[in-house]
Amino acid sequence: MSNTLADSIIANMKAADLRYIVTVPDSTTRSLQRVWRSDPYFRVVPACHEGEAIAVGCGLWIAGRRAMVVMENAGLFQAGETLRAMAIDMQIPLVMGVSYLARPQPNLSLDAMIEKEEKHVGGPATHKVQQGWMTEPWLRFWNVPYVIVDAPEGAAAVQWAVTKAVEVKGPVALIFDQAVGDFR
Amino acid sequence: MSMDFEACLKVLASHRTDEVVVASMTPIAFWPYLSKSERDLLYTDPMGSVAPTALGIAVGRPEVRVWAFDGDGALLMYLGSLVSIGNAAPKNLVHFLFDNGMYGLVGLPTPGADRRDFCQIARGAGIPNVHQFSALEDLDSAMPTIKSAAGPQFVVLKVTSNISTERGGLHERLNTPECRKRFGRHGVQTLRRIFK
Repeated sequence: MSNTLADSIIANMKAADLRYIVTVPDSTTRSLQRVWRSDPYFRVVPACHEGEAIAVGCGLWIAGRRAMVVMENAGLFQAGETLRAMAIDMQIPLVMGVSYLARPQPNLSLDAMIEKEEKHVGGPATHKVQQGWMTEPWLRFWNVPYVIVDAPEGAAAVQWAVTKAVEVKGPVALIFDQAVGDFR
Repeated sequence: MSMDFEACLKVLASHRTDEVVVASMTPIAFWPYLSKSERDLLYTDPMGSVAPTALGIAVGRPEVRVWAFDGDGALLMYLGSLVSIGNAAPKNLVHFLFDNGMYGLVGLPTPGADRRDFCQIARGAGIPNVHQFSALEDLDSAMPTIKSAAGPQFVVLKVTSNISTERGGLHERLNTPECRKRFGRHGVQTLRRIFK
Protein backbone atom coordinates (compact mmCIF):
# COMPACT_ATOMS: atom_id res chain seq x y z
CA MET A 1 0.00 0.00 0.00
CA SER A 2 1.43 3.37 -0.87
CA ASN A 3 0.87 6.60 0.95
CA THR A 4 0.95 9.80 -1.02
CA LEU A 5 1.76 11.86 2.09
CA ALA A 6 4.86 9.79 2.84
CA ASP A 7 5.82 9.79 -0.84
CA SER A 8 5.54 13.58 -0.83
CA ILE A 9 7.72 13.84 2.26
CA ILE A 10 10.42 11.71 0.60
CA ALA A 11 10.24 13.76 -2.61
CA ASN A 12 10.47 17.03 -0.73
CA MET A 13 13.39 15.79 1.35
CA LYS A 14 15.27 15.05 -1.85
CA ALA A 15 14.34 18.42 -3.31
CA ALA A 16 15.71 20.09 -0.15
CA ASP A 17 18.89 17.96 -0.14
CA LEU A 18 17.88 16.75 3.32
CA ARG A 19 19.68 13.44 3.17
CA TYR A 20 20.98 12.76 6.70
CA ILE A 21 18.47 11.24 9.12
CA VAL A 22 19.34 10.94 12.80
CA THR A 23 16.77 8.88 14.57
CA VAL A 24 15.62 6.99 17.61
CA PRO A 25 12.85 4.37 17.46
CA ASP A 26 9.52 5.85 16.42
CA SER A 27 6.34 4.04 15.46
CA THR A 28 4.79 6.77 13.30
CA THR A 29 7.73 7.04 10.92
CA ARG A 30 8.61 3.35 11.03
CA SER A 31 7.69 2.88 7.39
CA LEU A 32 9.44 6.07 6.31
CA GLN A 33 12.50 4.82 8.14
CA ARG A 34 12.47 1.69 6.00
CA VAL A 35 12.67 3.92 2.91
CA TRP A 36 15.41 6.08 4.42
CA ARG A 37 17.43 2.95 5.20
CA SER A 38 16.96 1.28 1.81
CA ASP A 39 17.30 4.29 -0.51
CA PRO A 40 21.02 5.01 -1.06
CA TYR A 41 20.23 8.71 -1.33
CA PHE A 42 19.75 8.83 2.44
CA ARG A 43 22.22 8.22 5.25
CA VAL A 44 20.63 7.13 8.51
CA VAL A 45 22.52 7.58 11.79
CA PRO A 46 20.69 5.75 14.58
CA ALA A 47 21.06 7.20 18.08
CA CYS A 48 20.21 5.76 21.50
CA HIS A 49 18.58 8.79 23.10
CA GLU A 50 16.77 11.85 21.80
CA GLY A 51 19.23 14.33 23.33
CA GLU A 52 22.09 12.42 21.81
CA ALA A 53 20.29 12.49 18.46
CA ILE A 54 20.01 16.29 18.65
CA ALA A 55 23.78 16.52 19.24
CA VAL A 56 24.53 14.24 16.26
CA GLY A 57 22.21 16.36 14.11
CA CYS A 58 23.93 19.55 15.29
CA GLY A 59 27.30 18.01 14.41
CA LEU A 60 26.06 17.27 10.90
CA TRP A 61 24.82 20.84 10.42
CA ILE A 62 28.14 22.17 11.79
CA ALA A 63 29.80 20.02 9.13
CA GLY A 64 27.68 21.76 6.50
CA ARG A 65 25.26 18.85 5.98
CA ARG A 66 21.48 19.03 6.09
CA ALA A 67 20.07 16.66 8.67
CA MET A 68 16.66 15.86 10.12
CA VAL A 69 16.43 14.50 13.66
CA VAL A 70 13.39 12.25 13.94
CA MET A 71 11.67 11.37 17.20
CA GLU A 72 8.27 11.03 18.87
CA ASN A 73 6.81 14.05 20.60
CA ALA A 74 7.65 12.50 23.98
CA GLY A 75 11.27 12.46 22.87
CA LEU A 76 11.13 16.18 22.29
CA PHE A 77 10.65 16.72 26.01
CA GLN A 78 13.49 14.31 26.75
CA ALA A 79 15.82 16.19 24.40
CA GLY A 80 15.05 19.63 25.79
CA GLU A 81 18.37 20.50 27.41
CA THR A 82 20.43 19.49 24.40
CA LEU A 83 18.09 21.40 22.12
CA ARG A 84 18.40 24.50 24.31
CA ALA A 85 22.15 24.42 24.90
CA MET A 86 23.14 23.43 21.39
CA ALA A 87 20.68 24.24 18.61
CA ILE A 88 19.20 27.29 20.34
CA ASP A 89 22.14 28.76 22.30
CA MET A 90 24.84 27.89 19.77
CA GLN A 91 22.58 29.05 16.93
CA ILE A 92 22.78 25.84 14.91
CA PRO A 93 20.18 25.31 12.18
CA LEU A 94 18.38 22.02 12.76
CA VAL A 95 15.34 20.32 11.27
CA MET A 96 13.37 18.07 13.59
CA GLY A 97 10.75 15.58 12.44
CA VAL A 98 8.43 15.04 15.39
CA SER A 99 5.73 12.38 15.36
CA TYR A 100 2.43 13.68 16.67
CA LEU A 101 1.20 10.96 18.98
CA ALA A 102 -2.17 11.68 20.62
CA ARG A 103 -2.79 14.83 18.60
CA PRO A 104 -5.44 16.96 20.34
CA GLN A 105 -8.75 17.07 18.53
CA PRO A 106 -10.65 20.29 17.97
CA ASN A 107 -13.42 20.98 20.47
CA LEU A 108 -12.34 18.18 22.82
CA SER A 109 -11.15 19.05 26.32
CA LEU A 110 -8.21 17.25 27.91
CA ASP A 111 -10.58 15.12 30.00
CA ALA A 112 -12.69 14.29 26.95
CA MET A 113 -9.54 13.32 25.05
CA ILE A 114 -8.47 11.04 27.90
CA GLU A 115 -11.90 9.39 28.04
CA LYS A 116 -11.93 8.84 24.30
CA GLU A 117 -8.37 7.51 24.20
CA GLU A 118 -8.91 5.17 27.14
CA LYS A 119 -11.94 3.68 25.40
CA HIS A 120 -9.88 3.31 22.24
CA VAL A 121 -6.87 1.57 23.80
CA GLY A 122 -8.80 -0.24 26.52
CA GLY A 123 -6.53 0.92 29.33
CA PRO A 124 -4.83 3.86 31.00
CA ALA A 125 -3.97 6.64 28.52
CA THR A 126 -3.50 9.85 30.50
CA HIS A 127 0.27 9.78 29.84
CA LYS A 128 -0.24 9.48 26.11
CA VAL A 129 -2.84 12.23 25.91
CA GLN A 130 -0.64 14.58 27.95
CA GLN A 131 2.15 13.91 25.48
CA GLY A 132 0.03 15.17 22.60
CA TRP A 133 -1.55 17.95 24.63
CA MET A 134 1.81 19.52 25.51
CA THR A 135 3.52 19.23 22.14
CA GLU A 136 2.57 22.49 20.46
CA PRO A 137 2.64 24.64 23.64
CA TRP A 138 6.10 23.22 24.35
CA LEU A 139 7.39 24.22 20.90
CA ARG A 140 5.83 27.68 21.19
CA PHE A 141 7.38 28.18 24.64
CA TRP A 142 10.82 27.38 23.21
CA ASN A 143 10.20 29.65 20.20
CA VAL A 144 10.66 26.75 17.80
CA PRO A 145 8.85 27.43 14.48
CA TYR A 146 6.78 24.43 13.39
CA VAL A 147 4.35 23.15 10.81
CA ILE A 148 2.02 20.16 11.08
CA VAL A 149 2.40 17.86 8.10
CA ASP A 150 -0.84 15.92 7.64
CA ALA A 151 -1.64 16.08 3.93
CA PRO A 152 0.40 15.55 0.74
CA GLU A 153 0.13 19.20 -0.24
CA GLY A 154 1.62 20.10 3.13
CA ALA A 155 4.78 18.10 2.57
CA ALA A 156 6.39 21.08 0.87
CA ALA A 157 6.90 22.28 4.43
CA VAL A 158 9.98 20.06 4.42
CA GLN A 159 11.66 22.55 2.11
CA TRP A 160 10.33 25.45 4.18
CA ALA A 161 11.86 23.89 7.30
CA VAL A 162 15.35 23.79 5.83
CA THR A 163 15.16 27.41 4.66
CA LYS A 164 13.66 28.55 7.96
CA ALA A 165 16.26 26.73 10.09
CA VAL A 166 19.06 28.48 8.20
CA GLU A 167 17.24 31.81 8.41
CA VAL A 168 16.60 31.68 12.18
CA LYS A 169 19.87 29.85 12.95
CA GLY A 170 18.06 27.42 15.17
CA PRO A 171 15.71 24.46 15.36
CA VAL A 172 12.55 24.12 13.27
CA ALA A 173 10.02 21.30 13.70
CA LEU A 174 7.93 19.36 11.22
CA ILE A 175 5.21 17.63 13.19
CA PHE A 176 4.26 14.41 11.46
CA ASP A 177 0.61 13.49 11.89
CA GLN A 178 -0.28 9.81 12.31
CA ALA A 179 -1.42 9.84 8.67
CA VAL A 180 2.26 9.51 7.79
CA GLY A 181 2.21 6.06 9.35
CA ASP A 182 0.13 4.08 6.85
CA PHE A 183 2.74 3.43 4.28
CA ARG A 184 3.87 0.42 2.33
CA MET B 1 49.40 5.69 38.19
CA SER B 2 47.77 8.57 36.35
CA MET B 3 48.84 11.54 34.25
CA ASP B 4 48.72 15.23 35.04
CA PHE B 5 45.66 16.63 33.25
CA GLU B 6 47.40 19.56 31.59
CA ALA B 7 50.51 17.58 30.71
CA CYS B 8 48.31 15.03 28.99
CA LEU B 9 46.65 17.74 26.89
CA LYS B 10 50.11 19.11 26.04
CA VAL B 11 51.01 15.73 24.55
CA LEU B 12 47.85 15.78 22.42
CA ALA B 13 48.52 19.39 21.37
CA SER B 14 52.03 18.46 20.25
CA HIS B 15 50.61 15.82 17.87
CA ARG B 16 47.59 17.77 16.64
CA THR B 17 47.76 19.11 13.11
CA ASP B 18 44.52 19.87 11.26
CA GLU B 19 42.07 17.73 13.25
CA VAL B 20 38.78 19.29 14.33
CA VAL B 21 38.67 19.22 18.13
CA VAL B 22 35.33 19.19 19.95
CA ALA B 23 35.95 19.68 23.66
CA SER B 24 33.90 20.24 26.76
CA MET B 25 34.20 20.44 30.55
CA THR B 26 37.62 20.23 32.27
CA PRO B 27 39.74 19.87 29.07
CA ILE B 28 38.62 23.32 27.96
CA ALA B 29 40.16 24.83 31.09
CA PHE B 30 43.53 24.08 29.50
CA TRP B 31 43.07 23.65 25.78
CA PRO B 32 42.75 27.34 24.78
CA TYR B 33 46.23 27.88 26.28
CA LEU B 34 47.66 25.03 24.21
CA SER B 35 45.89 25.45 20.87
CA LYS B 36 45.24 28.49 18.72
CA SER B 37 43.43 26.56 15.99
CA GLU B 38 40.17 27.86 14.58
CA ARG B 39 39.19 24.20 14.20
CA ASP B 40 38.40 24.00 17.92
CA LEU B 41 34.82 23.94 19.18
CA LEU B 42 34.73 24.50 22.93
CA TYR B 43 31.65 24.53 25.14
CA THR B 44 30.35 23.50 28.54
CA ASP B 45 26.67 22.53 28.09
CA PRO B 46 25.10 20.06 27.71
CA MET B 47 27.20 17.45 29.45
CA GLY B 48 27.70 14.30 27.41
CA SER B 49 27.14 15.86 24.02
CA VAL B 50 30.77 16.03 22.88
CA ALA B 51 30.90 12.48 21.53
CA PRO B 52 27.62 12.62 19.57
CA THR B 53 28.46 16.09 18.21
CA ALA B 54 31.85 14.83 17.06
CA LEU B 55 30.10 11.80 15.56
CA GLY B 56 27.87 14.09 13.50
CA ILE B 57 30.84 16.08 12.21
CA ALA B 58 32.79 12.91 11.44
CA VAL B 59 29.89 11.35 9.52
CA GLY B 60 29.26 14.58 7.64
CA ARG B 61 32.92 15.11 6.74
CA PRO B 62 34.62 11.73 6.32
CA GLU B 63 37.67 13.46 4.82
CA VAL B 64 38.32 15.38 8.06
CA ARG B 65 39.78 13.80 11.18
CA VAL B 66 37.81 14.62 14.31
CA TRP B 67 38.93 14.41 17.93
CA ALA B 68 36.45 14.49 20.80
CA PHE B 69 37.72 15.48 24.28
CA ASP B 70 35.27 14.03 26.76
CA GLY B 71 35.15 13.59 30.52
CA ASP B 72 34.09 10.48 32.43
CA GLY B 73 31.21 12.20 34.20
CA ALA B 74 29.98 13.70 30.95
CA LEU B 75 30.19 10.46 28.99
CA LEU B 76 28.15 8.68 31.66
CA MET B 77 25.30 11.09 30.89
CA TYR B 78 25.07 9.79 27.29
CA LEU B 79 26.79 6.42 27.58
CA GLY B 80 24.68 5.14 24.69
CA SER B 81 26.66 7.40 22.39
CA LEU B 82 29.42 4.76 22.46
CA VAL B 83 26.97 2.33 20.86
CA SER B 84 25.95 4.95 18.29
CA ILE B 85 29.61 5.53 17.42
CA GLY B 86 30.31 1.79 17.23
CA ASN B 87 27.30 1.39 14.95
CA ALA B 88 28.10 4.32 12.63
CA ALA B 89 31.78 3.35 12.68
CA PRO B 90 33.31 6.58 11.33
CA LYS B 91 36.91 5.90 10.36
CA ASN B 92 37.90 9.51 11.08
CA LEU B 93 36.84 9.80 14.73
CA VAL B 94 39.04 9.51 17.82
CA HIS B 95 37.18 9.79 21.11
CA PHE B 96 39.53 10.73 23.96
CA LEU B 97 38.11 10.18 27.43
CA PHE B 98 39.76 12.04 30.32
CA ASP B 99 39.01 9.73 33.21
CA ASN B 100 39.78 11.12 36.65
CA GLY B 101 36.81 9.62 38.46
CA MET B 102 35.60 13.09 39.38
CA TYR B 103 33.14 15.72 38.31
CA GLY B 104 35.94 18.26 38.00
CA LEU B 105 33.81 21.34 38.42
CA VAL B 106 31.93 20.16 41.49
CA GLY B 107 34.56 17.96 43.11
CA LEU B 108 32.40 14.89 43.58
CA PRO B 109 33.20 11.33 42.45
CA THR B 110 31.59 10.00 39.30
CA PRO B 111 29.42 6.87 39.71
CA GLY B 112 31.36 3.62 39.79
CA ALA B 113 34.71 5.41 39.72
CA ASP B 114 36.43 2.57 41.57
CA ARG B 115 34.93 -0.33 39.60
CA ARG B 116 33.85 0.59 36.08
CA ASP B 117 35.98 -0.14 33.01
CA PHE B 118 35.41 2.19 30.08
CA CYS B 119 37.59 0.10 27.77
CA GLN B 120 35.36 -2.91 28.27
CA ILE B 121 32.27 -0.79 27.83
CA ALA B 122 33.62 0.65 24.57
CA ARG B 123 34.58 -2.78 23.19
CA GLY B 124 31.15 -4.06 24.17
CA ALA B 125 29.61 -1.12 22.33
CA GLY B 126 31.25 -2.25 19.11
CA ILE B 127 34.34 -0.03 19.05
CA PRO B 128 37.22 -2.37 18.25
CA ASN B 129 40.12 0.06 18.49
CA VAL B 130 40.44 0.84 22.20
CA HIS B 131 43.45 2.12 24.15
CA GLN B 132 44.19 3.18 27.70
CA PHE B 133 47.13 5.25 28.92
CA SER B 134 48.29 6.26 32.36
CA ALA B 135 51.84 7.38 31.49
CA LEU B 136 52.65 10.41 29.36
CA GLU B 137 55.53 8.75 27.52
CA ASP B 138 53.33 5.82 26.48
CA LEU B 139 50.69 8.20 25.15
CA ASP B 140 53.32 10.24 23.32
CA SER B 141 54.74 7.10 21.67
CA ALA B 142 51.33 5.85 20.60
CA MET B 143 49.99 9.11 19.20
CA PRO B 144 51.48 8.78 15.67
CA THR B 145 49.66 5.45 15.31
CA ILE B 146 46.44 6.80 16.81
CA LYS B 147 46.57 9.77 14.45
CA SER B 148 46.82 7.64 11.35
CA ALA B 149 44.85 4.50 12.27
CA ALA B 150 41.32 3.93 11.05
CA GLY B 151 38.62 4.65 13.60
CA PRO B 152 36.50 4.79 15.40
CA GLN B 153 39.04 4.81 18.20
CA PHE B 154 38.38 5.19 21.89
CA VAL B 155 41.27 6.33 24.06
CA VAL B 156 40.99 6.36 27.85
CA LEU B 157 43.41 8.77 29.50
CA LYS B 158 43.80 8.16 33.21
CA VAL B 159 44.43 11.61 34.63
CA THR B 160 44.74 13.13 38.07
CA SER B 161 41.84 14.90 39.67
CA ASN B 162 44.11 17.62 41.05
CA ILE B 163 43.69 20.60 38.80
CA SER B 164 45.79 23.70 39.23
CA THR B 165 43.89 26.86 40.02
CA GLU B 166 46.89 28.94 38.99
CA ARG B 167 44.89 30.55 36.17
CA GLY B 168 41.70 30.79 38.17
CA GLY B 169 38.45 28.89 37.85
CA LEU B 170 36.90 27.64 34.63
CA HIS B 171 34.99 30.82 33.81
CA GLU B 172 38.05 33.01 34.36
CA ARG B 173 40.06 30.71 32.13
CA LEU B 174 37.45 30.91 29.40
CA ASN B 175 37.19 34.67 29.61
CA THR B 176 39.91 35.41 27.07
CA PRO B 177 39.44 36.58 23.47
CA GLU B 178 41.26 33.50 22.20
CA CYS B 179 38.83 31.21 23.99
CA ARG B 180 35.69 33.25 23.34
CA LYS B 181 36.09 33.13 19.59
CA ARG B 182 36.07 29.32 19.69
CA PHE B 183 33.44 28.99 22.42
CA GLY B 184 29.85 27.95 21.72
CA ARG B 185 28.13 29.80 18.88
CA HIS B 186 31.38 31.51 17.82
CA GLY B 187 33.15 28.17 17.38
CA VAL B 188 30.11 26.82 15.52
CA GLN B 189 30.08 29.82 13.22
CA THR B 190 33.78 29.37 12.40
CA LEU B 191 33.44 25.66 11.69
CA ARG B 192 30.36 26.23 9.52
CA ARG B 193 32.32 28.80 7.52
CA ILE B 194 35.20 26.33 7.09
CA PHE B 195 32.83 23.58 5.92
CA LYS B 196 30.72 25.80 3.67
